[in-house]
Amino acid sequence: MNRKVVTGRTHPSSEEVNSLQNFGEIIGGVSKIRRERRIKISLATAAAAIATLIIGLWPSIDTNDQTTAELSTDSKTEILAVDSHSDLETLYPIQVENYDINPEVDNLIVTSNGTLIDVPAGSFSGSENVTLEFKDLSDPMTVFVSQISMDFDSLGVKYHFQSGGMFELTALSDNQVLLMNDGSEIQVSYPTLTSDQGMNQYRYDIETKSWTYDMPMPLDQLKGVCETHKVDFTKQQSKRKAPNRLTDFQGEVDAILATVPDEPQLASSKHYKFHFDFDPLDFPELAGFEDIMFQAKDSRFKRSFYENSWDAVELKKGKIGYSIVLKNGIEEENFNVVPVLQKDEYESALDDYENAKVEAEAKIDQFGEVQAAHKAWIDDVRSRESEYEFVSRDKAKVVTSRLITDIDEMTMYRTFNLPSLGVVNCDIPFQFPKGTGIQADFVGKHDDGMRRFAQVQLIEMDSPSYAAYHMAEYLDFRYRKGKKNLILAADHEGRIAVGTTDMFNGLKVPKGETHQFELKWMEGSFESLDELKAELHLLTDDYAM
Amino acid sequence: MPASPEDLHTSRKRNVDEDDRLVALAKENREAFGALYAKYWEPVYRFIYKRIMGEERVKDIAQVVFIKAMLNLHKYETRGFAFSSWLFRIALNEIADAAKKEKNLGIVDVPADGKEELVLEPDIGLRDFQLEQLVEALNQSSPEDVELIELRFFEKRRLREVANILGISETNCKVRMHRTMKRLKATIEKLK
Repeated sequence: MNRKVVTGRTHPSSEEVNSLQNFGEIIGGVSKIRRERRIKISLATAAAAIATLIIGLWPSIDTNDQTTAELSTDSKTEILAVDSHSDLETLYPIQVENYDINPEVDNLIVTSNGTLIDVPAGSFSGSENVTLEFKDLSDPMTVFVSQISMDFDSLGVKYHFQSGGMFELTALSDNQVLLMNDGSEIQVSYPTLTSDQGMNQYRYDIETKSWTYDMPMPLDQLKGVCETHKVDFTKQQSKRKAPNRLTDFQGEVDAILATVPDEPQLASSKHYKFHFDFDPLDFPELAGFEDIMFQAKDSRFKRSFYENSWDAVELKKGKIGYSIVLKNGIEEENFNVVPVLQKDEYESALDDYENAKVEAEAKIDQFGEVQAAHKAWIDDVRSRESEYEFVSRDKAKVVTSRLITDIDEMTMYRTFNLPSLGVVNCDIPFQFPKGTGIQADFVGKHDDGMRRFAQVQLIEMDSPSYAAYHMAEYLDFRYRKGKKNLILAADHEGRIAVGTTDMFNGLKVPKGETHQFELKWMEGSFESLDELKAELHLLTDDYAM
Repeated sequence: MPASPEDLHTSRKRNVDEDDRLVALAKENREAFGALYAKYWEPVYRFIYKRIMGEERVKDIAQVVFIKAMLNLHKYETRGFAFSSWLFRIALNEIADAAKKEKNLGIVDVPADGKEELVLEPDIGLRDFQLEQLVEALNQSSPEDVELIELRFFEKRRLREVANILGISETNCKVRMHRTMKRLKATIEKLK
């Protein structure tokens, strides 16, 4: 630390501090600097041929983020340079996928782009509820908006990245960033953008805005990632998403059905009938009826039965209904009966029966709907099961998924091994394109005239490769002819401008001249990154969404 | 009676609205910048005073901060923060430049309650340490770590404001803060 730490220092009073104000000095200082700037501009005007050199040497008096250096690359026109908005992501938020995990068990997360995040149990401690935030940073517009530097410094040599994919993984607990436990490792299988060999794993340090090399990253053969690992997805999901719902419902239906009485029957004057004291515990379905009687159903009942004394009378319930057995010594009579009610009791019982029946039928209908929905859910899960057939290395893992992945057997993966979280990528570093070199300015129309972008991003869409041109730093702009070149730039307000491949077609710039590329503003009010991507897609067919 | 969070929010919002109005006026007429100068002279001066030795140097740097702010005012955008955040960001650059050019100029002013502020932070778990240990730990820390500790604890700024002053996102700021405090705690533990 190059500053001395002091304690117990006394501070001046407000009166003392405010007595030092001198606004006149501010006005004077501003005027002086503006005069000096004008002198420098006229010097630059007189020496247009070395204007680009002046760009590099210009002593900036501006703040770090929103600088405007007054420069000239043209002998007639003063062109102001404009730096990019310092936080484009606040204007065009990058989509974040959140996955809640239980850190005490093994977790396998399948993200919407088919990335598999393997989180072993014990990767985090101190919290029962952990949320993993996944940000896919793979498409050019997202990379641009993220403002993650794609420059890589290796022993003082500057490189840029051809990207095989990039993402940010963050763990949070109670809205606080959570670090991984020492010695643990999360493995991420990422559907890579390219099958090119020679890619490495790099880690981004947000503090220094620089990349560090981790390890080489060979392309995973699909089987290497997936072989023989079948996840019992239905079972896993059943555990989590259909917790005994059907069983619970079946229980409810059974309970309500038990309350529905048998349909009452009206006593007939044409048949023999009699009262009989039965045990309601043996025949609960009959217990609710008032003054129930039993009516002989067949001709085996004879009038003389009324007059006999019987040693025993027994009511039985068989498959087709009730029967009465009359016993007297060795004599035994058996005939079928129907429980019946006299008119008043019958009407009252009929009302009760119909009400209970309506209620039960409604429950049964509801059950049918639940059954149908459950079946559809099972079918859906089973149809997706093949997609997930290869995703798990271990059947015991809890699968956390959004169920919207679009991976297939042709998807090529690279596997990241992460002892800590953050922004990582798989890339091949390359030096600036050794193709055509020209002197170039990239400009956009503003209300007050043309403004030169202080920095532009050249993206070779074929790879994709990213090269950031800081205009004050590079004396020439290099690009490769025949490639799908895309230029992206932003101004201090966060407006984004685009230059497409056709801008480079047939381009010839005489030596010593500076070519002015006018970039097109992406017009409209974009409320999300997806809208920006869609607009870029319209502007250029080269842009793979 | 202490102010409620709602009161604080309303008060901050009023302050930002007032700043927006003053900035709009100053963009039209540079003399109107005087109102912003008068309002923020003392906070800016004190901000620098806590980081630079010598009252003359402090005053000079504070003047340069306002000159640069005035020159670049047309590019200033509010983003929901007081104008002072932007001034502080300019000031941090100026302080760093000055400290680089001149040895023994830069200081870290640990306030009387600086230690208590750190102890109060529940996530850190820093307990039972001496002020001398904190001073030594700060001496062993990186300038970036010290800058965060100063802004957050010694000056008691909200995380959002710290992020804005440093020109980074709030999430980045949270991550940096977490790492910084972990390192500070480890250093202090070693010194015990």
